Amino acid sequence: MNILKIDKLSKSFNGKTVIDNLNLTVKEHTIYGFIGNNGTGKTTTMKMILGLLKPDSGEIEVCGKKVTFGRTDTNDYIGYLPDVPEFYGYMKAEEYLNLCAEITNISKKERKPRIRELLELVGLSQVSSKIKTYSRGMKQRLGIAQALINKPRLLICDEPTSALDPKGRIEILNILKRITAETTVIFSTHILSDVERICDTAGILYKGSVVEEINLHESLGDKGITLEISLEEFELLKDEMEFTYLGESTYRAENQALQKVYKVLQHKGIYPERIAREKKSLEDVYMEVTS
Amino acid sequence: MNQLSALFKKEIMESVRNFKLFVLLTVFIIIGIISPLTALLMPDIMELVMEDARISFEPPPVAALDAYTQFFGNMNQLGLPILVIITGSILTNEFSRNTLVNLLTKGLRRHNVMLVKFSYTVLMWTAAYAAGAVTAYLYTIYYWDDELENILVAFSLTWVYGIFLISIIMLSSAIFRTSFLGVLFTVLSVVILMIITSIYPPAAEYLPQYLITSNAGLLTGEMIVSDVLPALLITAAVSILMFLLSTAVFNKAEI
Repeated sequence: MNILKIDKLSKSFNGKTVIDNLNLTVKEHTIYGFIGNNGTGKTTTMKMILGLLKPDSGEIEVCGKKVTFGRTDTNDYIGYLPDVPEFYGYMKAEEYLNLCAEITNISKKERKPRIRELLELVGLSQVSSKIKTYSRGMKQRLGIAQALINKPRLLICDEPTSALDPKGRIEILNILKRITAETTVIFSTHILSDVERICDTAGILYKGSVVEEINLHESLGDKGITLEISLEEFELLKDEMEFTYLGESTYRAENQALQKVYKVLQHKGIYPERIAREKKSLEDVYMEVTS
Repeated sequence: MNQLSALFKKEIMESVRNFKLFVLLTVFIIIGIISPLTALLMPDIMELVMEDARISFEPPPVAALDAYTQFFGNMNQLGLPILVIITGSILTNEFSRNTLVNLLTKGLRRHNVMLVKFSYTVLMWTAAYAAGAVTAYLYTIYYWDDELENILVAFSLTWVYGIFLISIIMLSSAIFRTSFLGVLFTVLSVVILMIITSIYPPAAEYLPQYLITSNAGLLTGEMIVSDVLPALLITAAVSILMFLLSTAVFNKAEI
């Protein structure tokens, strides 16, 4: 089932088109990585899903219900973690989560255990100081806890790891990975390694629309065949296929199938020191699509 | 209902922990104390000044009316500006710090935000003003037992004017979203009302400004309640209208 469906969405600011005819669907219980450079419209798209920004045209459906700007009905299904989550510094984490729980109409009986469970999940259960004393990473973890308070079916995270140190990043990614049994996650970022680490699907946002969707459980294809050969051997091969020199006697035969490379090597009587199939990374696909 | 009570509790916690409520109460109680005290000491002060200048001077007798006049004067010059400064950021802080985003994306209705912000600010103002007014009243009747007319109505006029200022703050905050512009808009609105009064004096008795210049007249009996009724009704209506408008603006605002 699709938990999110975006159809022909467009949005411009002061005559500058930021989102242009964007189409997107996200399946339930998956992690969708929404990738793109800074300023490509990831936050704008998310804010339109949340009803905080008004689209110029197009439709958004969350759990089969249409999103209407300024109204918050569909937000009952959503949890949102902004890129820089802001809280009331004079509160403690428990007090803040209690406020969120009351707003989302969680019964008094359920509130305490839910808050305790979430504080355990994000590793803040032992922290009793006020939020104003928190580090960036702690705020981000509290951000996840507040976003999950209403057991949302869809969790939207806007660049949750971009400002964190490596340890903080891994902590946040692990939390996101852990919650997919109950929640679908959309996660925007420009850190491609984070997407490769936890996402099922990645959508590349470029010039206002999703130009490529990648299933990260499938191979992204071969980048080429890497050969470690001498200069003389290279001279014999260079007319047969296109090579890129990678350094230290290593060359990459660009976009070649392994069978063809073998055939040529056999024909020329060349036996390389090393031969390897180099797979495409998400970064390679991203660069291909956006350059 | 849950959302309203949750937000209300949050506002109470905020005003207590950020000392806003404490500052407001303290300032207004001080105004309540110094007003009768100033009236009481004024003849002695004037006598001393005149003595230094070697001018013979017979100070006029001081009465309860002087204490109240002093109170309303201090309120206009000190109390109301402090109210605007302290409450001017009640909504804009939420915009500039983005603290509402988390709550709005949880299904918090926007009109509930405005309703609670407005009503809690009015409540804070009411508590602080009442504390100041009661202090001034008790202090005044301790020294003078003059019979004065319409004391409750005279005090109410400044209270209604305070609510009018809060409604301007709400509207300007919803439109401009920064504390500076919000407070500036409120001050400009007051200045414009004063200019209208000076250009076209007959309009004065229908404008909110009339409320804070009529308190003493009501106490002495020079004015009766019906004299201030048009300004009172217009101010109340404009305040409600501005609050509704601010809610409509906020409902349509992109965040």
